[in-house]
Amino acid sequence: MKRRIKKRTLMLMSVLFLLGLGVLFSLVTFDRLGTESEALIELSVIVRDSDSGLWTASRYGMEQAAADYGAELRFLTLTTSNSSDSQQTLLEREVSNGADAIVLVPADPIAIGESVRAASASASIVTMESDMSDYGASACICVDGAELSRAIGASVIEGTLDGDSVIITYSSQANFQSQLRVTETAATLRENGRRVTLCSVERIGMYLNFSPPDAVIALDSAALERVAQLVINREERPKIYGTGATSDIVHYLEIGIIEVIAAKNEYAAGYLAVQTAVQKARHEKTEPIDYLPFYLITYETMYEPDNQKLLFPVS
Amino acid sequence: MRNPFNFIVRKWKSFYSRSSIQLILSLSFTASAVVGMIFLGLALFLRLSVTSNNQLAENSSRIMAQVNLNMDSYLRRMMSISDTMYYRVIKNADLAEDNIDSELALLYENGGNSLISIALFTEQGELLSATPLTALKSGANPSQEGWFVSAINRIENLHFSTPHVQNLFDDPDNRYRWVVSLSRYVEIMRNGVTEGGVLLVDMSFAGIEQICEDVLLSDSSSYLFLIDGNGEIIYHPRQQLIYAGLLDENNLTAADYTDGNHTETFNGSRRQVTVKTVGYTGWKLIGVAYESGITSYYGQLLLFFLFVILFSIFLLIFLNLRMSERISVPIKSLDKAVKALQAGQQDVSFDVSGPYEIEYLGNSIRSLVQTMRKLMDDVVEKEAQKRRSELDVLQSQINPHFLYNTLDSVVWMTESGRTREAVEMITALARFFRLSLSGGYSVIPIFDELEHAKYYLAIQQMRYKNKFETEITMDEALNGLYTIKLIVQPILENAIYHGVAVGDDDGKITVHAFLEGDAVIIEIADNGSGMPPETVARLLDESSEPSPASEGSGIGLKNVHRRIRLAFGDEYGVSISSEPDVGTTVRIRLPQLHERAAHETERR
Repeated sequence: MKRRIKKRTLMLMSVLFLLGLGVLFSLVTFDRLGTESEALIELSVIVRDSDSGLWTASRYGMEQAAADYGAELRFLTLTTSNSSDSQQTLLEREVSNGADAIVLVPADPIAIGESVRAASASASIVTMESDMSDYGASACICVDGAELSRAIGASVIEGTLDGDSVIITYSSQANFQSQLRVTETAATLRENGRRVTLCSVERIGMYLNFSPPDAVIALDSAALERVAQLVINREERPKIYGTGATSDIVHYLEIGIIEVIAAKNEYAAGYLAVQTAVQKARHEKTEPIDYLPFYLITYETMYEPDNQKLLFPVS
Repeated sequence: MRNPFNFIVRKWKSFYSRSSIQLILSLSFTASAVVGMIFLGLALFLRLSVTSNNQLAENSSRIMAQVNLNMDSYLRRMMSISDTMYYRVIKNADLAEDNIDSELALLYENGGNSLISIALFTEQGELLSATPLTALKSGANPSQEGWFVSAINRIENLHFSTPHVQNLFDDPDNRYRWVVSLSRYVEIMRNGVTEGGVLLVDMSFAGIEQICEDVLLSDSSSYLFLIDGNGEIIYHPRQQLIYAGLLDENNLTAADYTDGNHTETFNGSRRQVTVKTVGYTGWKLIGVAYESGITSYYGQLLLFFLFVILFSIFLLIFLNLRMSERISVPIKSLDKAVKALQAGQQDVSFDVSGPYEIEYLGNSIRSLVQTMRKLMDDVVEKEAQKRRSELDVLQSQINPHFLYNTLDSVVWMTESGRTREAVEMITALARFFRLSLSGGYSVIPIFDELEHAKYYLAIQQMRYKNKFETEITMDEALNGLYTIKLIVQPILENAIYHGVAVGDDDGKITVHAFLEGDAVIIEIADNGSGMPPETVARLLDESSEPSPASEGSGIGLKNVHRRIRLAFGDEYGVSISSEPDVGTTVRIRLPQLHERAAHETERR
């Protein structure tokens, strides 16, 4: 009997002790209970440019998404723009440093394909501009390159005359690859009587000097900025069309150097890229990702409220 | 089950009757304390919840009021700059002759980082003066801007625009800055002629952002945003996400809310919305707190309360058990002592410690037991006395009967001249009586008892002229054993009178004493006429009345049987086996009574 009483007393004292600990625990952690303590995802962003200024708007979006979804962001630029070797080195280094997720803007998807395939085994990889799902990338945040090219092509036809010469230029093979269908637009331009030439941005100066075109289409921000810089002081300037919405491009649009830009919401692109990468790294369910919308903007429409929001992100 | 209440009452009564005091005390104390605590806990929790809710609402309102005050102060500062510019500079200058650029620059400097630019335009949109940038962009057309149109259309008011990118001045750094434009219609003088114009003060959007950002209303999910009278967002902590179409806000609905607290469901989430209108501008500060955040706080609070209540309940159970133990354990000790007493244990202690009542109960029981023991001792003593008296009476029944017969024989012998035989009989009688007296002891050695029987038989043989033979034997093992006295002689008397005396001359009576197991057997056998079974059965039947008319009433046998059983218990006594015309054997069964036990029996 005594032994039973002793056992019961011991049991009650144990329960009391545990409950006392519970009270202390709830007192100590009262302010901390309910706060989420999900582990931070280490996320690296590897762009294909050496100038991070080209990615300012995207970077704002990325930083916002990193704050919202719990990621530690490392934003990495290349020593040489569009250098696949440099990008490959960075990619391998980040993976070996334990990055959980990587947002990659490939300089050349084919050149870096196998590295992406290897990296995707240990990190979730989301690409921008170029779809690399064939190489194991989880998702791609980009516009419909063909649709964008067709839209720019239509603008060029509208802004030029039959027989005018048009140069389509690009700053990297990657970008050209990602917007391969521009060749269809080139064909369309030709069908509409335009003389079309394709060239890399490194050679555009030569064309401008020796065979000035009536119009130039630049298919990425760097190329567009470069073309605008080359023609700004010329008396006879070709009409310039292109993609991108950096502050320099907007300035060139405003002062009439650039006729039309096709711009996507860079902030949204950056945000979605990081959001998707983090969700993939956490193996969370994600919604299917559509192509990002893009908008054709001219000098006349650039200060419309919606375009202001697109071109000039609020910090 | 027909009446649930009765069923419960019955069950409770059954449980109550089967439960220990400790359990009942513990359960009662704990149940009442728990009910009280839960009631108190719930009341406190509800009160605290209401208070917390009120405090959160009050806190939100206070923060909103503070933000509103800061916003109002900021806007008034801008308005003050505009007023100063207009009333101190523009009104006092003829712009055709006076240059107001330095005054503009001074005011701009005073405005600090909050200002982006100050500019004065004619009613047609021609730039008259501006700072810090002074050149309009080539394509700029101020008269088409919203702030310009508003100022011209409503000349009596100051107008605040929604945030927009300033696109007026040529910036060598190609900066595109978000501003909120404060514009007003002004009267300007040029060449002595008064005409209309528009004064523009572009405020940095960052200034508004600084006032509104990082404001926490209740929990980390709460935030604050600013809209104009039409619901257009001026500031939102996630403005760019909304602009990018990645996030929705209920700004258009909020535009219709009046100042105060509102509850709404937006995108499936319940949230509390606090609205505060910013003076003069018609802008509205909207504070948003998600109920899930508040509920999470209540969840934490509830968990805390739960722990405290559970802890208190178990503490109460523990204390109640200890307390009830202090009451029930002495009672159990008393119960145990009483049971030990019932089991016959003598040295039972009723000393219990505990509450006064229990100690008093222990003392009462002890006193009761002492009284009871005394009464029992009295009863035992009386019973012993009674038994002794009864034995004395029984023994006294023997003597006159035998004495009468023997003396009758002596008389008869003397009359017939058989003096020697008479002397022998008298001598035997004297020895017989000496043994009968046995110094006053009622318990004597078996040997003496058999000696007594021998003298008796000797007397009777003389009386009956050796009509029968006798033989008395005793096993050696019986030496030193005792018996109550005068148990053989009455049986011998029966054997003579009803056995061998009525038969032929070859009668024989044998007495043999021996051990049988633990018992002493004294077997008296005769070869007399014997008895039918019904007579044998009647002889020891206590309930049958002796028949005075019958000579063989068996008084002697019953006498011996009763005495043995009185002295040693029911397992001892006399048994008879008899067969008509064959004889009778009477067995006396006795315990082995050694000297010490004999003295004990004697004392009883």
